[in-house]
Amino acid sequence: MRVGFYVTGSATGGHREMLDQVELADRRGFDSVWLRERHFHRDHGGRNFFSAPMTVAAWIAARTSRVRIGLGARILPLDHPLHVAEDAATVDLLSGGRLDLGIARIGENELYEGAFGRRREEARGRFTEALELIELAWKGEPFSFTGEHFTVPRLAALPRPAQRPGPPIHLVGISEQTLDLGASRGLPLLLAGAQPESEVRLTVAGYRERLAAAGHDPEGIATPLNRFVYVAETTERAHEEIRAAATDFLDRPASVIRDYLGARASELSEEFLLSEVFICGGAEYCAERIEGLRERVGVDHVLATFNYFTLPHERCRESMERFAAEVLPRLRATAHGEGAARGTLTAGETVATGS
Amino acid sequence: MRIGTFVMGTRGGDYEAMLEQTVRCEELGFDTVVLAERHFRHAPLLYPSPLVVGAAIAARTEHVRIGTAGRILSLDHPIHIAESAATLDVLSDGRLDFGVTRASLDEEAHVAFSSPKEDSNGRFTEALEIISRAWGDRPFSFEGEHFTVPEVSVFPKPVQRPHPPLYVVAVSPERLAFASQNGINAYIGAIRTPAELAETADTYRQGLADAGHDPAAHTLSVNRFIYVADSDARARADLEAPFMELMHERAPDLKGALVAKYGSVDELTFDRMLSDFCICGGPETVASRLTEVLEATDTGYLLATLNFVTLGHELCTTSTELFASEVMPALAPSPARV
Repeated sequence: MRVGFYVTGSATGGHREMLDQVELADRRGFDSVWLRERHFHRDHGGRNFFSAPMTVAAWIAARTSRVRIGLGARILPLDHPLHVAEDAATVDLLSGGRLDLGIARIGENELYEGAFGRRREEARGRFTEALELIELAWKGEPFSFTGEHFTVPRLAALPRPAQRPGPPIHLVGISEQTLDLGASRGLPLLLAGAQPESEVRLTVAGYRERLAAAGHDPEGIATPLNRFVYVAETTERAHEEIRAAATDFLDRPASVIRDYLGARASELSEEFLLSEVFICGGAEYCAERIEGLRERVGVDHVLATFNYFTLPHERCRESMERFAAEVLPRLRATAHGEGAARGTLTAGETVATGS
Repeated sequence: MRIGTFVMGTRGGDYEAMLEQTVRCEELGFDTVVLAERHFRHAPLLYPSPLVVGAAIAARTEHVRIGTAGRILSLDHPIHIAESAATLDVLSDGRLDFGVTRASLDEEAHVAFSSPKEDSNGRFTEALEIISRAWGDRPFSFEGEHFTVPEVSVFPKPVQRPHPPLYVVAVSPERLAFASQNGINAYIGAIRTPAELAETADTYRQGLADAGHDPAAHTLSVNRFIYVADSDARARADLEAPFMELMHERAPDLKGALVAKYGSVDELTFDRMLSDFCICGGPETVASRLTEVLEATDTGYLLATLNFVTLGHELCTTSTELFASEVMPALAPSPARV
């Protein structure tokens, strides 16, 4: 199981606390850290720190040595694709080839298009052309492009990224057209933290079918799944500590979870959240839930969101530390020792807890 | 005396070498590291994304200020620029000197980004207005000829309040006038002779005063190409071929500007450049020629271009070290002006 850290903000921590966690993720064996793109957020005391994720990614590149750095995701239609290609190449070079570029067609709401002078109805066309342009730009050789939205005279977009042919591109989105576009190009699909497991299973199965139909081997194409993770001493304790955050989640009228559930939105309850959306419990429980994702939903790459905007920073931090100390080793044990026996896992647990 | 270094790349130096160099410049006592923005064929080591590179520099350094000279305001959306610059200011704990420029020197970037150069004046002015409002405390909206922004609050806010120090790259008389009328600090140019620099400085300060701004409260930064070696002869031998290669092969814009200045390509001899604007020599020569420039302009902020993309990384590094150890101490410690 591959495990990444999805960076968000907590109720009380600022950017410094978030960046400390990124460095911790690098030291403690996470495979990747992921940043999102969000604009105009009044939340969190104006500490919104995600409006320029490439700039933050460059900071991370210079401070870390091991973790891959993911953008989950840049909203392509808001910017000129050559700017995106240049920024990404720059971060890739600064990180020695550690960038993963997630791309999305739309952001949180239509204010984004309004503010950046774009039109939502052009988003799909711009998105598709932008993807093509970015891939062309990264070749480092002269090209020209004539599309409906972008026209580029013959030029070479430099510098070239460190990775060849470029940083891996990951797709975010679940619309039919987006999934078809991703499948036709064999792109990894990033799955959202708010999507319930039962829905994730359907999305993954459907995407694999599309990939196969497009002539790609689904086994070789990842579908990293974002999950809200919370680890405490015991599962009971974890549930207790997460309750307020869960209630807040449920009370939000325009919750993204409701969007994912559609007609099933009435099923929403704390119990539903705990079994379908959050992975919340003691270390052993969390490790099993994550390990079980492989079978339950067909995913072997998890991006853990430890910070909840409604939880104090210290709690988030403790949960992340506990995850690194007690959950990660269990997931590594199964990843490296095939068919690792439960006894081995228990031994690992003792060592990890004692350290 | 404040001294900045212009972080252009070196021959054979990669991004990591550039980062290490900025760390070293901080140790050597430079006050600022400054990045330009150039695209496409100019980009291999001239940073198409200076604010992104600035964040990596912020991560490795502690107190050196990080400048742009400048972020081109007409090539992308000002809200992106406001967000990215504020993010860099936050990440660096308030070390950003935000320098802006109207347009790219080459047409190519304007065509590629579908932002015609003839619109760049209007876009520049509107963009600067949008950026400063985006950094303010209140939500804002904007209705202009080039940009329309519905009511939004842009985050994060810069750490420096009300905003990071602003600079305008004043290559043209129009931009210099814009800087003085609006009371903005200015960078003035690499290819002006000391006499021309003195005149430019006077124009700028007079413009500030005429517009009701206090000249003493505004910074004029003078940019020079500098190369230091053990002796004058050695410095010349090291730099001549790389400098001519830079002009002829790597920097068509620089060449274009020089042809415009001197009338013909035949006039572009290395001797002409040495006598007019390129300061190349042993430490004593460099110090005395710099003193002449600083006195002529009465400025306390030197921006030193010590890297040349056509000159080997080792030589650039040695020159930078010599500059810091032998030249910096010889420059006047307390400026009459900032």
